[in-house]
Amino acid sequence: MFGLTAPRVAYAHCDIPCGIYDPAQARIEAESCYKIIEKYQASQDEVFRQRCVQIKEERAELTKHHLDVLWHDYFKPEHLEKFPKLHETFWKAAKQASKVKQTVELSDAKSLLELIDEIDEAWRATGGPKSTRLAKAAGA
Amino acid sequence: MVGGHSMEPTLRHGDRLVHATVPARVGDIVVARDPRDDARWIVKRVASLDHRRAVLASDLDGHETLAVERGAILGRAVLRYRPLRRLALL
Repeated sequence: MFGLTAPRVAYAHCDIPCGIYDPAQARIEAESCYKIIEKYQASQDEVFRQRCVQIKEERAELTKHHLDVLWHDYFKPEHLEKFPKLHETFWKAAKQASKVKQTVELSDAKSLLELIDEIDEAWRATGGPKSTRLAKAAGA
Repeated sequence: MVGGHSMEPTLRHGDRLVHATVPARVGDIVVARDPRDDARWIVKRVASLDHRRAVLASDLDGHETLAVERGAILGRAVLRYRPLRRLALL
Protein backbone atom coordinates (compact mmCIF):
# COMPACT_ATOMS: atom_id res chain seq x y z
CA MET A 1 0.00 0.00 0.00
CA PHE A 2 2.76 2.43 0.93
CA GLY A 3 5.94 2.37 -1.09
CA LEU A 4 8.73 4.88 -0.97
CA THR A 5 9.77 6.50 -4.20
CA ALA A 6 11.78 9.61 -4.91
CA PRO A 7 9.73 12.76 -4.24
CA ARG A 8 8.47 14.47 -7.36
CA VAL A 9 6.12 17.23 -8.39
CA ALA A 10 2.42 16.56 -8.92
CA TYR A 11 0.99 19.48 -10.82
CA ALA A 12 -2.10 21.33 -9.70
CA HIS A 13 -1.66 23.88 -12.38
CA CYS A 14 -4.20 26.43 -13.26
CA ASP A 15 -5.23 26.44 -16.85
CA ILE A 16 -5.65 29.75 -18.61
CA PRO A 17 -7.45 32.02 -16.10
CA CYS A 18 -4.70 32.51 -13.52
CA GLY A 19 -1.69 34.62 -14.12
CA ILE A 20 -2.73 36.07 -17.44
CA TYR A 21 -4.90 39.12 -16.92
CA ASP A 22 -3.94 42.41 -15.39
CA PRO A 23 -6.01 45.59 -14.87
CA ALA A 24 -3.01 47.46 -16.25
CA GLN A 25 -4.14 46.31 -19.69
CA ALA A 26 -7.41 48.21 -19.31
CA ARG A 27 -5.68 51.16 -17.65
CA ILE A 28 -3.18 51.65 -20.47
CA GLU A 29 -6.03 51.86 -22.98
CA ALA A 30 -8.00 54.20 -20.71
CA GLU A 31 -4.94 56.41 -20.25
CA SER A 32 -4.67 56.60 -24.04
CA CYS A 33 -8.28 57.79 -24.15
CA TYR A 34 -7.48 60.49 -21.60
CA LYS A 35 -4.44 61.70 -23.51
CA ILE A 36 -6.27 61.60 -26.83
CA ILE A 37 -9.05 63.77 -25.41
CA GLU A 38 -6.42 66.25 -24.21
CA LYS A 39 -4.96 66.39 -27.70
CA TYR A 40 -8.41 66.71 -29.24
CA GLN A 41 -9.27 69.65 -27.03
CA ALA A 42 -5.96 71.39 -27.71
CA SER A 43 -6.26 71.17 -31.48
CA GLN A 44 -8.17 73.29 -33.98
CA ASP A 45 -7.33 70.98 -36.87
CA GLU A 46 -10.51 69.20 -37.84
CA VAL A 47 -8.74 66.34 -39.59
CA PHE A 48 -6.56 65.77 -36.54
CA ARG A 49 -9.61 65.95 -34.29
CA GLN A 50 -11.42 63.37 -36.38
CA ARG A 51 -8.45 61.05 -36.11
CA CYS A 52 -8.42 61.59 -32.34
CA VAL A 53 -12.08 60.59 -32.13
CA GLN A 54 -11.51 57.49 -34.21
CA ILE A 55 -8.51 56.33 -32.18
CA LYS A 56 -10.22 57.16 -28.89
CA GLU A 57 -13.16 54.95 -29.88
CA GLU A 58 -10.81 52.08 -30.67
CA ARG A 59 -8.96 52.48 -27.35
CA ALA A 60 -12.21 52.74 -25.38
CA GLU A 61 -13.43 49.54 -27.03
CA LEU A 62 -10.18 47.82 -26.04
CA THR A 63 -10.64 49.08 -22.47
CA LYS A 64 -14.04 47.39 -22.41
CA HIS A 65 -12.58 44.21 -23.79
CA HIS A 66 -9.86 44.02 -21.15
CA LEU A 67 -12.35 44.79 -18.37
CA ASP A 68 -14.71 42.09 -19.60
CA VAL A 69 -12.03 39.42 -19.79
CA LEU A 70 -10.66 40.31 -16.38
CA TRP A 71 -14.15 40.25 -14.91
CA HIS A 72 -15.17 36.94 -16.44
CA ASP A 73 -11.93 35.02 -16.41
CA TYR A 74 -9.87 36.23 -13.47
CA PHE A 75 -12.31 37.00 -10.68
CA LYS A 76 -13.93 34.09 -8.90
CA PRO A 77 -16.82 33.71 -6.43
CA GLU A 78 -14.52 33.78 -3.41
CA HIS A 79 -13.21 37.16 -4.58
CA LEU A 80 -16.76 38.46 -4.69
CA GLU A 81 -17.22 37.46 -1.07
CA LYS A 82 -14.24 39.64 -0.19
CA PHE A 83 -15.28 42.47 -2.52
CA PRO A 84 -19.10 42.44 -2.64
CA LYS A 85 -19.21 45.53 -4.87
CA LEU A 86 -17.00 43.97 -7.52
CA HIS A 87 -19.78 43.22 -10.04
CA GLU A 88 -21.19 46.71 -9.63
CA THR A 89 -17.77 48.28 -10.12
CA PHE A 90 -17.13 46.29 -13.28
CA TRP A 91 -20.57 47.19 -14.60
CA LYS A 92 -19.97 50.88 -13.91
CA ALA A 93 -16.51 50.70 -15.49
CA ALA A 94 -17.85 49.06 -18.66
CA LYS A 95 -20.60 51.70 -18.83
CA GLN A 96 -18.03 54.43 -18.28
CA ALA A 97 -15.85 53.04 -21.07
CA SER A 98 -18.89 53.32 -23.35
CA LYS A 99 -19.30 56.92 -22.26
CA VAL A 100 -15.65 57.66 -23.02
CA LYS A 101 -16.24 56.15 -26.43
CA GLN A 102 -19.10 58.56 -27.01
CA THR A 103 -17.76 61.81 -25.57
CA VAL A 104 -14.63 63.97 -25.57
CA GLU A 105 -14.80 64.99 -21.90
CA LEU A 106 -11.70 64.58 -19.78
CA SER A 107 -13.87 64.12 -16.70
CA ASP A 108 -15.38 60.99 -18.27
CA ALA A 109 -11.95 59.51 -18.96
CA LYS A 110 -10.85 60.40 -15.42
CA SER A 111 -13.88 58.61 -13.94
CA LEU A 112 -13.02 55.55 -16.00
CA LEU A 113 -9.46 55.54 -14.66
CA GLU A 114 -10.77 55.79 -11.10
CA LEU A 115 -13.06 52.81 -11.61
CA ILE A 116 -10.21 50.78 -13.11
CA ASP A 117 -8.11 51.69 -10.06
CA GLU A 118 -10.85 50.32 -7.79
CA ILE A 119 -10.75 47.07 -9.75
CA ASP A 120 -6.97 47.08 -9.53
CA GLU A 121 -7.19 47.24 -5.73
CA ALA A 122 -9.33 44.08 -5.69
CA TRP A 123 -6.98 42.39 -8.15
CA ARG A 124 -3.98 43.19 -5.94
CA ALA A 125 -5.73 42.04 -2.79
CA THR A 126 -6.54 38.68 -4.41
CA GLY A 127 -2.95 37.89 -5.36
CA GLY A 128 -3.06 39.19 -8.93
CA PRO A 129 0.46 40.66 -9.08
CA LYS A 130 2.08 37.56 -7.63
CA SER A 131 0.44 35.23 -10.12
CA THR A 132 0.70 37.52 -13.13
CA ARG A 133 3.65 39.85 -13.15
CA LEU A 134 7.20 39.01 -14.12
CA ALA A 135 10.23 40.57 -12.49
CA LYS A 136 11.82 43.31 -14.51
CA ALA A 137 14.96 42.39 -16.39
CA ALA A 138 18.14 43.48 -14.61
CA GLY A 139 18.89 47.10 -15.36
CA ALA A 140 15.40 47.79 -16.70
CA MET B 1 5.32 18.25 -3.92
CA VAL B 2 2.38 20.25 -5.22
CA GLY B 3 3.08 22.55 -8.16
CA GLY B 4 0.42 25.13 -8.93
CA HIS B 5 -2.65 26.66 -7.39
CA SER B 6 -5.67 24.84 -8.79
CA MET B 7 -6.23 22.81 -5.59
CA GLU B 8 -6.31 25.76 -3.22
CA PRO B 9 -7.19 26.12 -0.44
CA THR B 10 -6.68 22.41 0.38
CA LEU B 11 -3.32 22.18 -1.33
CA ARG B 12 -1.00 25.07 -1.93
CA HIS B 13 1.94 25.39 -4.25
CA GLY B 14 4.92 23.79 -2.50
CA ASP B 15 2.94 21.58 -0.10
CA ARG B 16 4.45 18.10 0.39
CA LEU B 17 2.17 15.09 0.22
CA VAL B 18 2.25 11.36 0.75
CA HIS B 19 0.10 9.30 -1.58
CA ALA B 20 -0.85 5.66 -1.07
CA THR B 21 -1.83 3.10 -3.68
CA VAL B 22 -5.31 2.57 -2.32
CA PRO B 23 -8.46 2.63 -4.46
CA ALA B 24 -9.77 6.11 -5.07
CA ARG B 25 -13.32 7.17 -4.34
CA VAL B 26 -15.31 10.17 -5.43
CA GLY B 27 -14.18 13.17 -3.40
CA ASP B 28 -10.65 11.88 -2.83
CA ILE B 29 -7.60 13.86 -3.82
CA VAL B 30 -5.52 11.68 -6.09
CA VAL B 31 -2.19 11.69 -7.85
CA ALA B 32 -2.51 10.60 -11.48
CA ARG B 33 -0.59 10.51 -14.71
CA ASP B 34 -1.42 13.50 -16.88
CA PRO B 35 -3.34 12.22 -19.94
CA ARG B 36 -1.56 14.86 -22.02
CA ASP B 37 1.91 13.83 -20.89
CA ASP B 38 2.39 10.42 -19.37
CA ALA B 39 5.63 11.40 -17.65
CA ARG B 40 3.92 14.19 -15.73
CA TRP B 41 1.94 13.74 -12.54
CA ILE B 42 -1.09 15.77 -11.59
CA VAL B 43 -2.95 16.16 -8.32
CA LYS B 44 -6.73 16.66 -8.51
CA ARG B 45 -9.95 15.67 -6.80
CA VAL B 46 -12.10 12.82 -8.11
CA ALA B 47 -15.38 14.26 -9.35
CA SER B 48 -16.80 11.05 -10.79
CA LEU B 49 -15.67 7.52 -11.31
CA ASP B 50 -16.77 4.43 -13.21
CA HIS B 51 -15.08 1.12 -13.85
CA ARG B 52 -13.05 2.57 -16.71
CA ARG B 53 -12.61 6.30 -16.35
CA ALA B 54 -12.40 9.05 -13.77
CA VAL B 55 -13.11 12.74 -14.02
CA LEU B 56 -10.62 14.77 -12.01
CA ALA B 57 -11.48 18.30 -11.02
CA SER B 58 -9.70 21.25 -9.46
CA ASP B 59 -10.83 22.68 -6.14
CA LEU B 60 -10.44 26.25 -7.30
CA ASP B 61 -13.34 27.46 -9.42
CA GLY B 62 -12.64 28.13 -13.07
CA HIS B 63 -9.78 25.67 -13.30
CA GLU B 64 -9.34 22.58 -15.31
CA THR B 65 -11.23 19.31 -15.17
CA LEU B 66 -9.75 16.27 -16.88
CA ALA B 67 -10.99 12.82 -17.79
CA VAL B 68 -8.40 10.08 -17.27
CA GLU B 69 -8.31 6.32 -17.57
CA ARG B 70 -8.85 4.82 -14.15
CA GLY B 71 -5.49 3.09 -14.46
CA ALA B 72 -3.80 6.50 -14.67
CA ILE B 73 -4.60 7.12 -11.01
CA LEU B 74 -1.44 6.36 -9.07
CA GLY B 75 -2.91 6.68 -5.62
CA ARG B 76 -4.80 8.68 -3.08
CA ALA B 77 -3.18 11.66 -1.36
CA VAL B 78 -3.38 10.74 2.30
CA LEU B 79 -1.13 13.12 4.18
CA ARG B 80 0.00 16.71 3.80
CA TYR B 81 3.19 16.90 5.83
CA ARG B 82 4.91 20.13 4.88
CA PRO B 83 4.92 22.87 5.80
CA LEU B 84 4.56 21.40 9.27
CA ARG B 85 1.97 23.98 10.33
CA ARG B 86 -0.27 22.56 7.58
CA LEU B 87 0.22 18.94 8.65
CA ALA B 88 -3.06 17.11 8.03
CA LEU B 89 -4.59 13.85 6.94
CA LEU B 90 -6.39 14.29 3.64
